[in-house]
Amino acid sequence: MSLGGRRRLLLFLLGIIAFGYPMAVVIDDLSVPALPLAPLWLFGVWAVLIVFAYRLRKRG
Amino acid sequence: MSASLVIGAALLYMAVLFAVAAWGDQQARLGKLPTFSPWVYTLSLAVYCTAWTFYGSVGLAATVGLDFLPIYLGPTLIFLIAPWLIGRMIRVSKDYGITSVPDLIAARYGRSATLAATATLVAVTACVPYIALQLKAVVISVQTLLEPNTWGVDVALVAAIALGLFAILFGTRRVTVSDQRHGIVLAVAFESLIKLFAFLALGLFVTFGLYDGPWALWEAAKAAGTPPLSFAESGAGYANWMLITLLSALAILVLPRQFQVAVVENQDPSHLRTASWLFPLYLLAINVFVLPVALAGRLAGLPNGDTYVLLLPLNADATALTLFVFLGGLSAATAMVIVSSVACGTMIANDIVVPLLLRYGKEKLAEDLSPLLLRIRRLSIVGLLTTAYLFMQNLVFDYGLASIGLVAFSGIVQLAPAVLLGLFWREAQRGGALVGILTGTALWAYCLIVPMIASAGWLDGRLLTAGPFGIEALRPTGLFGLDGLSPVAHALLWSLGANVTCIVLGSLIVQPRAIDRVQAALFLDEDRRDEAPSLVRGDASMGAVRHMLRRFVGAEDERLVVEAASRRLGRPVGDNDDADAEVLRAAERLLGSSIGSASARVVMESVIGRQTLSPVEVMTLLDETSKLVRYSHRLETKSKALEQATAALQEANARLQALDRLKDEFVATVSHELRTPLTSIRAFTEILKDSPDLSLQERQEFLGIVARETARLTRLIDDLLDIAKLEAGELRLELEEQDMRDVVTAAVDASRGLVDAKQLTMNVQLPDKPVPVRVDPDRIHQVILNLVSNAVKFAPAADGRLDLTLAPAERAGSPAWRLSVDDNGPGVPENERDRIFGKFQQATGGDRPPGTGLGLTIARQLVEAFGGALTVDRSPLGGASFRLTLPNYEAVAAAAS
Repeated sequence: MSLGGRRRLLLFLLGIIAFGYPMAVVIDDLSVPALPLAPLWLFGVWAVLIVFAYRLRKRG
Repeated sequence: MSASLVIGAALLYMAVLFAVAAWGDQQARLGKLPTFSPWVYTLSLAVYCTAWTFYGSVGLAATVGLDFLPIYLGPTLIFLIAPWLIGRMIRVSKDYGITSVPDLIAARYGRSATLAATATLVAVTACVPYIALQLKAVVISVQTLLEPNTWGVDVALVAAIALGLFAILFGTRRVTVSDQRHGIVLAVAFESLIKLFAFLALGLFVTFGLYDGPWALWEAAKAAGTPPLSFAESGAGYANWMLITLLSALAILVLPRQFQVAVVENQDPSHLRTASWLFPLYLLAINVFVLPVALAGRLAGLPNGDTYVLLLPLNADATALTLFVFLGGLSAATAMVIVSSVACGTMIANDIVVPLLLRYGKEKLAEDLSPLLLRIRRLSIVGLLTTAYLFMQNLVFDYGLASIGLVAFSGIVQLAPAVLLGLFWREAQRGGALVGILTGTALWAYCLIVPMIASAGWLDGRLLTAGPFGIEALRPTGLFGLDGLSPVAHALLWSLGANVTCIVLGSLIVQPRAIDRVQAALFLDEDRRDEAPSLVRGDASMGAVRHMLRRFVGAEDERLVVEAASRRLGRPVGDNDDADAEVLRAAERLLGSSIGSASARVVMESVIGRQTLSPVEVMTLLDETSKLVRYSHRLETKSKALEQATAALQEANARLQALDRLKDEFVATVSHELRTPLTSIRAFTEILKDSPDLSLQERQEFLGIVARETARLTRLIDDLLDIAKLEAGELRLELEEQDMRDVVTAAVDASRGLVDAKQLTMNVQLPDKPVPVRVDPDRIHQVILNLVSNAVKFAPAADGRLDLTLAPAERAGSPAWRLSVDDNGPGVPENERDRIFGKFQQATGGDRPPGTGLGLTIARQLVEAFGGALTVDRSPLGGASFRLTLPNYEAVAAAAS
């Protein structure tokens, strides 16, 4: 796999953790209201992943 | 809202859509390729966002909060690695003329018609409720705007007919499916823009028009006591969240419409690089206002979450926006139905109808089959849409849009393990894939479809509560006691788990056929795919192949194959010529894109005389391939080794030539040096012999010359022997610790006679304390004597001066001692300071001084053998300064201990 491919794979794995782990905290601790904290986190992570994917656009 | 306005807008929109598609096709015919753009490609991928997204996400968010989001997080994650993962699918599909996911599975697993048909049935079964969902969304949107339905027409039927017409017109023009449908792709991209702008306009209107921004909306919801949209309400928890993310990640790879736009319609794999960031951005943009709209809908007390997007602007009397949003929803539904119909229609035709036709009705087939193939594909689209319409009329209305979508997703992903394992795992085999797909689909149907049917009242409701035959562990919604998950997550866990297990175990247990192994090897090794021998073997004339191609793909494509063969062979190809492997491979690929890879194999076999490969032939083929690969690897390794050896040999040869030159020069110099004293000795001995009348004084003078020259000869030979031993590493040195002061004093004493004879002034400066060095006493004495005698030689007779200074110094960062021997002679020019240490080299300028020319060479080699250095520089006295540096033995010994 090329360097770009390895970076993409790393981004993919980081994305899984970033989308999943904080949600586990929010879901398991029901005293934490999901709004507005959870959507802010999720959309924030989403935007960051897009920025990194954009920076990798020249690589395969 | 007035019926004429809504219906008029919908009809106008459909007319625009037809126009866009027609323009796209026309431009493509002119060779302008309007869809050759990563942006159009990415927008076409947004066919993923259907009416489910447009209406259903808000409906889902209004009831279970953020649980709508994993459907978009999975594709976002997958597209981060799309250039690698989907890129691989594209390359394989282009190489094999693959046109659908069942086709890909069949091509990977030995072109099995059974597997292709099974995968098609699964895909179509899962797709029917999904298409029904879109029709339902269109119906709901029209009903919402025209309550009560004042038009009096079956909206779903009209929509189904219009969309079917569109799909047939623009999706089934050519019989070869792998050719791009530019019109449809352009129309879908256009629809993606419409639905995105419509939803963004709605979101901005709700968030900043109806409220003063998202925080004001949130505060209003809190003040009104509206429950927060949290996971707690869904009750499914974290496992549900992750499982739905996995579900959507797999679905985006194997959904028929996604495969169609992402793989079949792809014109350049590099477009995936743009899609890898632009498509996640699209998904983010279309979801960013879902929560605000859902909150606003709940605050407004609207009844059905699926209708919030229409009712919010409608109730606010924003007619234009309502109409725009309606068209956005319509575009989301129509794009999905159009692309899915084309994709599923092709699957049904290629993987179910054509194989049956080839098996049972071959004799009745007409000469030119391409019109029949197109008719079958069109009928398949009609059949699919009819089934979806009937499904919607009878079953679907009891369920929300999102729940139907999730059911369809979890059905279609049963194809994902076979695809992914097939692409990356060489051992994956046909039997395992078939059992995996069947088991997974059966469990999916049992856990999700059976409860749907039971809820509709067509099955006994006790099945859901008490399980079949009263066995509670077999309850469809809590299989083996697994409770607490949402129905979709529960079904996914069991079906996908069983699916993967069956593929892995089945592949490991069942012994694969040789042809399957070859197929797998070629499928996975894309670098070798072009060089591999063809799997199609047999005797077929060009005439037979041309006839077959004309029948199945039409005259135009047949002509292209023949032209390519003629170009390759460099002569026109006649009907009686044998079709070579390249032609057969091109023909099979073309056939595959027209009737599917499984059927293509059947047709090819019929043309080349049903010559399937025997096990022996396949093994030979396998051998050929692996031999080729192994041989190529070996050749590469050997070639590299040869290159290295050649370079080393060239270098060694150059060194040898240089050494040979040096040797010649050395022999010439030695001969010359030996000859000079020998000539003198011979001449004076002959004089002594032939001249008996010489006086005693003359005789003594001549004998003195002979003795001097003999001594010189002896020195020369001694020096040569020393040099030879030093260079051969055979000179034995007796190293021992010495006080350098004693060594210098001894050498000075030995040379005192020479110094006095020339009346030179000699100064010796030695340290007060001992100077320990480790040297061979005789040899270091020889070196210092050589340096002093050189200085004496070159110092002028009048006012000649000679200084010997022993002082501490440093060598390579370590403490050392340096003996400087300075004179006020002519010195050594800077450009000769290295040269004078060479053999038979002496300083130029002036008369040639006496000596063998080997002394400094020997001295330097001896000093280096002691671990020191001998250099020459300009002396402060004006002449040469020879500097002998030796390691400080005290420091060396301390470091060693």
